[in-house]
Amino acid sequence: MSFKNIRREDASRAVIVHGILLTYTLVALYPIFLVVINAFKTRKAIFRDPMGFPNAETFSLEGFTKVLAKSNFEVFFYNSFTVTVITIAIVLLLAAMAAWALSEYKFPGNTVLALYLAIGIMVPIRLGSVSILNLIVDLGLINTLTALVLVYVAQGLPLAIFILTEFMHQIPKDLKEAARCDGVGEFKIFFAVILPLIRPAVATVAVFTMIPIWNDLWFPLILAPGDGKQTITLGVQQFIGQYVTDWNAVLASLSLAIIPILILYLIFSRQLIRGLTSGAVK
Amino acid sequence: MATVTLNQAEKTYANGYKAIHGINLEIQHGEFTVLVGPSGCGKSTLLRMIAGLESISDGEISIDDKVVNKVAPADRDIAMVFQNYALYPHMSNYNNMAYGLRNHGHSKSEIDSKVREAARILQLEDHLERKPSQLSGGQRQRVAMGRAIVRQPKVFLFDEPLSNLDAKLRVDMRLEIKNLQQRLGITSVYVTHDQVEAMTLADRLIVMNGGVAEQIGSPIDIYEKPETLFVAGFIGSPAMNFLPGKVSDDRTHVVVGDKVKLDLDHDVEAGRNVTVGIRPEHFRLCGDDAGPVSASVRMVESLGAETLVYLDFGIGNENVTLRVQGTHQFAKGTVLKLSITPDMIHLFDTETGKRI
Repeated sequence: MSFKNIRREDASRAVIVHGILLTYTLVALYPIFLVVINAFKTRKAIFRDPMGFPNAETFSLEGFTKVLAKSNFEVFFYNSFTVTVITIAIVLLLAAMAAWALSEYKFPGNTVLALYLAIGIMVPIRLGSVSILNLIVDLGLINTLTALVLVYVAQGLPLAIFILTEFMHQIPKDLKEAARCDGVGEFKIFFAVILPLIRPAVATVAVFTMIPIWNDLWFPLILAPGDGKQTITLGVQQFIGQYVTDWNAVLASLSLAIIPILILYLIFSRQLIRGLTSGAVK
Repeated sequence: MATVTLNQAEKTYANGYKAIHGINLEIQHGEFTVLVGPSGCGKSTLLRMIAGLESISDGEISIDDKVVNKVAPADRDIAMVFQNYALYPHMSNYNNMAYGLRNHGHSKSEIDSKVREAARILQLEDHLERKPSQLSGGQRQRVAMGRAIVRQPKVFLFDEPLSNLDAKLRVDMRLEIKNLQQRLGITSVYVTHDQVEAMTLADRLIVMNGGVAEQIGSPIDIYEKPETLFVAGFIGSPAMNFLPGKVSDDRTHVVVGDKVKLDLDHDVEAGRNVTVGIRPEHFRLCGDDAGPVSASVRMVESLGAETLVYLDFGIGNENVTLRVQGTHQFAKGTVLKLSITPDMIHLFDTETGKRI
């Protein structure tokens, strides 16, 4: 086979792969796109022409004014943001330390412990909702953001540890040994040498951890449904009634809810692309 | 400066594999010692034991008469240069060199002057603010060496520092390392599988095989008087030719194959089966004069300055290598007349592999 043919084959494969990915992207993004364009339309226009762009006649910000004026939107927003950010911070710190221990130190029960943690990935945490609720009630943490943070940390840790352990294994052994020869203590090796090197992995884990938490409706609903403790997904529910749904408000608040997660994602995704180990070893 | 002493140092892994079998060694102040051997012979393990990165199962290792078996790497006052540089990729080259000093609590001005001095010696002054990823392989290895020399340790440990570099750079860096070590006079232990590096760098050479030090001595001693078949085959390039032979009844020569007779001046009993070792460079081409050995050419490799000729000695499919100066064109099948002086012939016991 000539080189030309190989190149042609590569090109056609690239077209197919990109075609599939593009189709998927469109399918995935279209509902979000609909949410955003309809958030800027009058109620009538939403129903008359749900697919149409807002124009001079149909453009309206009534959804946004309603959301910002009539509900505790800032509070929902603040709650979601606090829970997400604190959870990410705790998950990343604990998971990175656990992953470092599992990958670097040989101790009895190392493999068993790693397996035990991996089981958490396979068993959905929602199966334990009833006992979690009991536990939170007994702890007196019902209707607090702390309850949500605790549950989400438990939910996020297994996958985070699993991913980070794999990444830690890839860090060249020589680098840690060079640090040990340089007189760097184990804690400092972890924080000053290892963590900066696995930044891309940490960012990946941050994204994986963040999105399900931000979008979760279940735990806020059972653990912190009280006034002033609702997260954004729960807060939006007040516009959805049994008989009438205020679509302007729902779509406007959903559009607003996309913004912070988008910002967080942009911050982390810059790290995802960067391969930081280049130059460490040949 | 420091001495390093190994007293019956052994390493046995948890799975029972014994990587190092009781090595005794005394490295003098400022001596450049090279550990050489094939992969898996335990040379890196031994170096890492000296560094403290690998525990010592039995025996003792001392630096300056202080037993360091239980001392952490940081407290042994050693600096190690790794094969793949092991630079901290997220720090500038300056910080890479300064990091160890900072961790040992030196003052900022002291660190600065030491790093700048090392950078000057290693010609890295223009690259201090860059990251390791912006440097070439040779420059990275120099930064790694800079990181070692700023610390002014008692002992330098090198773990195959040149094997990731291309051939030309390797030669340059080899000279630089030797030069640097002589200037600084720091006791050094250097691990390599490259016997040219070993021969050129070493004050003392340790040839290792299967976790055992096969021979310890100066490079020239080892080249001229290899104690075992393994050492004879490992040191020297191209490798020494080994031919099965039998000592003649009158003990004046050894018979190789059916037709080749080589003069001997060894004291060996008659009729003994031996392995005859002859270095490719020790054959002499006799031109038209009748030499005692004749062999036909199988293949020729011209390297410019010298020519390697692979000969058929009539002992099966094995080639015998001949190395001659200058360029020669020999057609395949040409019969060459060769001679060899008796003191260039090495005899080894075929059973034990020991030198006779």
